[in-house]
Amino acid sequence: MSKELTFEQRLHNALGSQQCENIKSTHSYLHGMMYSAEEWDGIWNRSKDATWAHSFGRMVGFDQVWWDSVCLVDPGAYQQWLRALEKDPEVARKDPRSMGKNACHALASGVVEVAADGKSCRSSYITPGPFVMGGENSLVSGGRILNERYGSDFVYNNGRWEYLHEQVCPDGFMDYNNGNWAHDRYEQALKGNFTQAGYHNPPPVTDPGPLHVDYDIVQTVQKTVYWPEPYETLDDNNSYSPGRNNPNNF
Amino acid sequence: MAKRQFTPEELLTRWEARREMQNIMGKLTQSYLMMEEAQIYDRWWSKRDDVCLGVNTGWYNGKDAVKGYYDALGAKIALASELIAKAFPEKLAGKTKEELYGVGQIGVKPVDTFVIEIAGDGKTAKGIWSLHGTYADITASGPVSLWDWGYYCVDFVLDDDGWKIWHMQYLTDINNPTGGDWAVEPLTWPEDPNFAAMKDFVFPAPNVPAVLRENYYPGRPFTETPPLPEPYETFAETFSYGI
Amino acid sequence: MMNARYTNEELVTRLWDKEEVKDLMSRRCYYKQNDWRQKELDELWVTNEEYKASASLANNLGYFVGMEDIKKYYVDGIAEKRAAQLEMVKANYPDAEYGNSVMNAHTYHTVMVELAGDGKTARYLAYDHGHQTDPLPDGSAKGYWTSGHILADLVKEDGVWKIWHIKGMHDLSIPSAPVPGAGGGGFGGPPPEGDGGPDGPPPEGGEGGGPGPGGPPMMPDMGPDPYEDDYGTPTVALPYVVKWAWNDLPKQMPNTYTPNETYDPKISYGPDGHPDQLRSWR
Repeated sequence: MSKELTFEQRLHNALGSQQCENIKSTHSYLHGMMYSAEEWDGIWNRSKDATWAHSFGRMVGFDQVWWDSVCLVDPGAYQQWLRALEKDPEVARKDPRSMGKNACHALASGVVEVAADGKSCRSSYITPGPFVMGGENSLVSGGRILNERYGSDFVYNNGRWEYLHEQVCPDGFMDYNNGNWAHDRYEQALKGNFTQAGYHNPPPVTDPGPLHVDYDIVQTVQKTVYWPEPYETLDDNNSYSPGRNNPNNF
Repeated sequence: MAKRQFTPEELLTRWEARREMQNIMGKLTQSYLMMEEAQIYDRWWSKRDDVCLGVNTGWYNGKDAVKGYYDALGAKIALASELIAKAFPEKLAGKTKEELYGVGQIGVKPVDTFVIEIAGDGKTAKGIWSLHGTYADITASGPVSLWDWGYYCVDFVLDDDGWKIWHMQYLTDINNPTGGDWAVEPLTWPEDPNFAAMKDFVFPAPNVPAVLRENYYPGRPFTETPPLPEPYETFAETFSYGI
Repeated sequence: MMNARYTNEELVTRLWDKEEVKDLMSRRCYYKQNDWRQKELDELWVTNEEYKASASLANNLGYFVGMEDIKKYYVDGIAEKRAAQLEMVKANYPDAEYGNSVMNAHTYHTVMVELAGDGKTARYLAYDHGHQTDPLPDGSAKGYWTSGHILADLVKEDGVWKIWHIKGMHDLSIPSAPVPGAGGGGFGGPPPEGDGGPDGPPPEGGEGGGPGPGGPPMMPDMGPDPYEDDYGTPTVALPYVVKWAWNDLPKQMPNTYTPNETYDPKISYGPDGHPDQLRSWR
């Protein structure tokens, strides 16, 4: 496909690919710091076609994404900060959001494709975690492994690359050193006391899920965010949120 | 080696090749999430005769052996799927064989920390990736999750249909059951009647046995990473990740 | 055309600069795993005398500044540790050689690269997910999963990218051996009780959920950093206080959209750019 493009078009696409990698990592660190407002304010498209999806469903439109991801998330951080403050006055000098929370969703095995028309970029990544975080009691971090996969669409809009769609697909959450996740799930299923992990009080979403669920012994293969292949333009066949591909739908 | 000077056009082409190799490794490793291992040879390996795949215990040398390795992964998935379906008939009733293929199995193989060198002549390339994963293996003791930490090392070749894998090494340092301590004896479980048939499944051994790497044990000699790619002009000037 | 400031040729150079920075840092990651520390300083770090004087390598206790201090800590320190380990290991493995029973692994992922407007320097951020195993006197070994973030300033010397400043901020070590009572629920543990925002840290036991009213996460207290004895005595003692986690990272992240025009020590990953001016008292 790229052989049909001019040198300038190819260069634009290569620079876009790099920039979208950076944006994807930016998301990961901002999320790790719980800088939700900075993330959605800084790197996201604000149209009605912006979507963010998880196992529980898909938030549709920037307003819903902002409400669910910023307004419903920040208070918990401040509440935890207040509890920690009772035990340690030094906490008062710290940012409640990034204090003791760093859910670093590592990005690996990335596949990145920029559309031939240069107006969008798609990526899929997987993460092994690590999921490092603080506990209220000690403020000493602990960590677990979070296996997830991500499908992301970016758009080149008004001269800059920005996030349009994100779909998070959790495959499991596990201890580093406790339990054998495959065998434990099997034994739970044999005993009939199997409980599907995941969100149980999800935020309000336009498209309710489940869109993807954790691994278990009777779970069939999920191809929820299949990797992107070379493509011409962002459309319903090349999108992690079909039907919502207009970054200027305000 | 004197550093060759490239034109902007050549540099851009080389950047695209580099991205393509990252994408190949991304897709190859993501295949294990979706139980598409059996398609890896057809999709990303060169169809040359002199391909090879190295694992800790030796080499799958030649295209029949390499293809046989991935075919065996697919056959193992199919057998495990049948056994899981039999073990949970109520939960999985009504699903077709195709729908059941891969049930209860998953491989998470994140790779990164890549160093990639493309030959000055643009005909070959080589790269190393770190692997830090975990996967569910269906054994005669039932499902067991294992760590999967190690390396992928790849020689790529530019075939008529694009960049393809020529030689690859998939080597591990930690391949122990999760929940145990890799520094001591691995956890074990008794045999499970539901999965007894897995005992009869024989995964093809490397056709050139060799110790390419040992998983960690106390007393293991210090084991460096596989060699890193260095700049080179033609493949004859550099080392091979193949046999 | 696409960028009023740079020519296409310059843009291609900038494209490759970022890739070369990534490869350089990956090489550093592998060199460190292999204990090739002197080789790392010789091959991957700055060679210009001015840069060498201000080069720095930081751990959680502070900054080793100048190549001489870096070498004493980073090269001589590990050599002493390995020599002591070898002497200990030989009691159980008489034929043991350097590094017997030792295993290091690091991985650099989630990479961000900010190339300065003038193209002379770059800022790098990655997360390091790895493990480390060291021998014990009884012939066994003790391992830890390790996590931390890596920040680096790179500078182009005669057309070749070199490491100038590195900070390896260690967040966590988790024993490889099972810890009774650690964690909660494992894969698919009890469901969270909190209301969830997208993909936030989970409330107790389960996955997902924001830090909402369900309460704080119940993560195991891993105790003191087992590698603190390895940190040495830095030239400039400015700590990374783990209990505050990533409170300082917002001030240090590479820029996503508008790079700094040129290098400035105040935004560097050397001691002059240390972010925590509100000192922790412990």
